[in-house]
Amino acid sequence: MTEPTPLRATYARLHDMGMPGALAVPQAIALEAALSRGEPASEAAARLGLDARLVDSLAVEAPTDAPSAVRGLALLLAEHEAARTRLRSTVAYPLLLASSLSLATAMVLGMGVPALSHLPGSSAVHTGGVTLGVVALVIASLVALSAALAGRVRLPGIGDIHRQLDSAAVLQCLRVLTASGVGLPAALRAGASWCGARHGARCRSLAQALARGGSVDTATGVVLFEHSEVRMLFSAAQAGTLRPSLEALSAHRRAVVSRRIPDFIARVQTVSVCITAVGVITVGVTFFREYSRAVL
Amino acid sequence: MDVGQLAGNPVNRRRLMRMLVADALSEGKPAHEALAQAGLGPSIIGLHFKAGRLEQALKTAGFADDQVRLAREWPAAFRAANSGLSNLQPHLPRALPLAATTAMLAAFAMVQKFVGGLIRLKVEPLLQEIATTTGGATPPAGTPEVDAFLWLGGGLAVVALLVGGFSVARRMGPLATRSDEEDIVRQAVFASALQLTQAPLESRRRVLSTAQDLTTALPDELDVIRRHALARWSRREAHLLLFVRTVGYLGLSIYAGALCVRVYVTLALLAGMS
Repeated sequence: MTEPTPLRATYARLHDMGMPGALAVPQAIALEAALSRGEPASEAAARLGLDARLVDSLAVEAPTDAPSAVRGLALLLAEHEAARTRLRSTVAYPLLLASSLSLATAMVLGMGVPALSHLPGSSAVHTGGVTLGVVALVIASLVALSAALAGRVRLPGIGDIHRQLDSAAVLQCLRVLTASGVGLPAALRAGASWCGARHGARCRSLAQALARGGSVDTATGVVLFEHSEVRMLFSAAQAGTLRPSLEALSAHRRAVVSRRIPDFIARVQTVSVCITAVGVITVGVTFFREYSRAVL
Repeated sequence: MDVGQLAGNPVNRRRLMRMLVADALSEGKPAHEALAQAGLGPSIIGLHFKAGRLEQALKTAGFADDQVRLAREWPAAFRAANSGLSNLQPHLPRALPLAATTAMLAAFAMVQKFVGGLIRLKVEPLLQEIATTTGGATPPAGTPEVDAFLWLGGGLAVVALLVGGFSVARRMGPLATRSDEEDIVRQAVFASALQLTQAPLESRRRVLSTAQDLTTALPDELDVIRRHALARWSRREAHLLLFVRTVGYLGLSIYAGALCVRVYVTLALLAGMS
């Protein structure tokens, strides 16, 4: 009986434990069969319908140890998606609060205030404009909420979190691909598929700088890595100590991300709750002031 | 003990105690002496350790059942396992939104009770009196739609609280049961610690009772499994939080709106009749 290969064994184990990974077991088996037939990893991955980022990373340069590359990239995909989901949930939080507050206000204005106009001797209460405004606010909040869930809304401070996430993903991609026999410039180009457009362009410019002779690109503008990280990467590439350096950089960046995201979540929650509390108090005060004016 | 572990981190007495205990167990030293040397004795935990009651001591110190099992079977792996578990997401951020929803629902319920009581005691007799003196004046109209909104909002908030409360209760407290994902993450952390300290297969089997597959996994495979499980768990947590918040805040906003409207309309009716 032959030993199961690492890719198949890992995913079969995950599947047996009820925790299917980024690859289903049949996909892992089919991928390994395709690789043993000599089919390029990127083509096999694309044919099996794997994620585009994974396929693009494999397409830049064929890794010599394709199963390890696929395994590492599939793990990166799972972790990257988990972090993005947490961020989306966080960004949605203040919008949920805004929607809820707007909805409550709309109910008060739409159902409660018109009752005042029936009072004898009450001054006319014109709430049409305000109601329209609040309804517009509800709609805007809901639209923003759906955009947040799709990952298209940015909050103050989220840019740095995105940069941290992108750089963590790129470093992980570099670690996986270079360990599987891909050169650093090609791995950097592959890393671009795990970022947004600006950070991806930065990755490609770093790859070009490395290909030009390894001088550190000190250009300001879009920042993806710390300057010290870039220096370390370039000198490790020249000294041939890429593997331990990337291990260290990737572990450090993951640790930073694991600290920054909860901090960001706590900050967003606190600010949102404070703003909502102010909003609730304002609505309450306005409500009773209008009531006094109308009745007394 | 690695002092670096303490640097820059807020360490309370309980956490320090847990770290000292993990250290002492891993190195095969008496834990009560380690606690006493650090100026943390005498304590109930130290007394349990001194009397040889390992299980009670660890439970009193706040270690979970699976950690107690690990300490019993292969204490050498205890520090590595404890350190690995400390990287898992803490309970508090998950419990906070639930606590906020509960607090708001409780506050609204109290306001509703207070306002309802006030209206029953002070306003309704007045309305009755007015209706009687005016001889056939229209009695105050009921607000069934508003009541329906109150029920709907309160119901939604309670659904969110039940779902969220159940999910938090599974993870916290002495009767906690964990989600499968969290359990596998913990078992993978234990498996790595056991492998690192070269535990025999029999001990691994006994400790990893709920994930026997991990006993034969290779070190790099264990890392992959742990991180996959952690990523999956994290995604599920985020989805759960989003559900609790969406349903909870939607319910609360409907509830609060309906409550305001009810007060508003009742008082307006009173003003109108008088």
